[in-house]
Amino acid sequence: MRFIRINMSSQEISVEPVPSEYLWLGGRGLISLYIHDHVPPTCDPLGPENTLLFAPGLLGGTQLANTSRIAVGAKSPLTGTIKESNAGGTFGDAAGRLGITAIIIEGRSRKDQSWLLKVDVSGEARLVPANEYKGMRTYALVKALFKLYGSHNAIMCIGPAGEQMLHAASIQSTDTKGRPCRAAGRGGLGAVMGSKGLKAIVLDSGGRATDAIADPEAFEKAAKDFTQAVRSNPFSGEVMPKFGTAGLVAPVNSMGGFPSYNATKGVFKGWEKISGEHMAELIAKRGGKTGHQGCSKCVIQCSNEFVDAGGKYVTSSLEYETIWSMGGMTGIDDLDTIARLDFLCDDLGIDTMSTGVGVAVAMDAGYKSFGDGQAAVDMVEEIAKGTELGRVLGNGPEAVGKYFNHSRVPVVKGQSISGYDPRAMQGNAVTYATSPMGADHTAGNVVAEYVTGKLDPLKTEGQVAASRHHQIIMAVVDSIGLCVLASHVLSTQEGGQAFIKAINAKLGTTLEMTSLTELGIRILKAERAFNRKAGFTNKDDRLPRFFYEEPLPPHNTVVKISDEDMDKTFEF
Amino acid sequence: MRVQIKLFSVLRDYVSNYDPEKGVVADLPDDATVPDLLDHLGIPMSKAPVVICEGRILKSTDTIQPNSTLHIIQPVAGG
Repeated sequence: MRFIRINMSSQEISVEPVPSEYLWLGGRGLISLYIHDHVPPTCDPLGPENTLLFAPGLLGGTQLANTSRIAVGAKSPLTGTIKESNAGGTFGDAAGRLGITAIIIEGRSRKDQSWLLKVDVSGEARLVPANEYKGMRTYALVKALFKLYGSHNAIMCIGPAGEQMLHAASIQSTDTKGRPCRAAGRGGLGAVMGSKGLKAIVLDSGGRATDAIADPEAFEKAAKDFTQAVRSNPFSGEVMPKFGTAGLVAPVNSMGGFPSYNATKGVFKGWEKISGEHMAELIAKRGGKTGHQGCSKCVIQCSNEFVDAGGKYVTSSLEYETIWSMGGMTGIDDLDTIARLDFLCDDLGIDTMSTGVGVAVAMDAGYKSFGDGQAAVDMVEEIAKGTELGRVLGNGPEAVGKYFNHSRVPVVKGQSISGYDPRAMQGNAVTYATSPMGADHTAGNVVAEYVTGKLDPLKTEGQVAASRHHQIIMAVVDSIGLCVLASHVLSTQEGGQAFIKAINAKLGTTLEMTSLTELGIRILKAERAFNRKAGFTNKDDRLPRFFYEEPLPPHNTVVKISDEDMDKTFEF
Repeated sequence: MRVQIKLFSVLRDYVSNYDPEKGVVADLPDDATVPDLLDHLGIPMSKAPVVICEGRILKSTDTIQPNSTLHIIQPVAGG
């Protein structure tokens, strides 16, 4: 396993063995520790001193199910913090099988130069001039690249949003059907990639060189048991395959915690029309697909292919968070409009969540009416056009709030919350406020504790401990390359045991679950240390004022976690 | 007592000709508990059903409120 280091200023490429201090690290753990060690915390995220890393998980490329996530990281232009964002699709698995521990992008090319990075099946990397692809949207781009290099490749790329260095720009990733519809969405890493002059990375999918598995027989058994644990669980075995993450719309609305109309209500009036159940019915009727496998080695198969009334492809995969941000937050209760917005964001290479929340802030400010689907589409199209409003929207919800002089902006450290209102889920209030990543549900979502009755979502008791626990687990999950939708089985006896056995069989170690906890803590400490040096203090671990002051119907609660308790989150 | 119920995920399969817009109405004894409700609907525990009443997740020991609207979901984790 090795580092591939690319200096975009000199176009020099070097392949290096992984330094000993980074052995046994992958994904987010590798990225965060590397950034902590090597990136100046006060650097300009869009300048040459920032480093952009792509790292498959520690078990990426192996046969372990659902472990093919690709982690991407840098200092974020949206939050100013360290940032890791991970994506599904085929890139992570391809990188693992090519024996890549990390692709490290340094420096910055000249402003008029655009490049793509090609890695062959032998693992050899080269930079290819890519000026002819400037301005290309991602669907047209991957079509051209597959034509040039063949379909046996996995691609991550930016669209016009990343080229414009907009702070909410994503890096799109190709799925099993070669569509750029998966995203490393959060934190504007697409802008970092654009700032370096890198348009796309194309990896050959035919790699076979992973590290030897220390005990192949034990690994195979553990992998089988892990698959069984994932499949037999009602959430990952039934809800996700049948309804996708859209299956969360009904539960979260039922709990009164679906931030709607720019987070002024906890139940969205039209929610049943945008639920996973309704979406599955609509897709089936129109000849689209649910239960689709979008990512390598996935046994959950939560993806969908959304089609229009004529059966024509619109987008893949339509996810809960997009339905929330483009539907609940904006008041749009029409799946066809939401699906179109999803496609637009993928094609432009911009985070659907930041964009939907930005549109919602604009609507709340009176720019357009809630529920105006055409207005939302027009606003997102402005991002492609590079208009003044498009640039504002593309720079995230905080930029939109400032532009319209509107104070109800649901962000922490510049990044928007997600589809779980902190006033109705006090544990997620803690995660949003304290995560080193800014407001981020995948950093430590507490919802499972509420649904299983372990914690009361409206009370303060136990929330800090729960958030801490989930943040630690997710730091590990993001380092192994495990999909968040499979990660909940780690809390079961069968799932947790199978997982640790797989790790030990792969690495030849005798780790216990406690070792994983130590790893998670180590990662979080490094991330927080970086943020401190970047200028962040405890005062930044707070939610916007309105969450503490505006009760959210129907429960009519506010965030009740005290500042003092927030500050205890990282007392390990 | 009478309660209004809406079912989600595969739990809809347990009521023949389930109408998503109307849900179902159930007549239950006055002291019915959550397990009694699930029994009445024929929803097995293997599906891990979670009953939500007016925004609150009920425990297995909770009794059902008359004239309430209940949502029954399968468990979810974050995504």
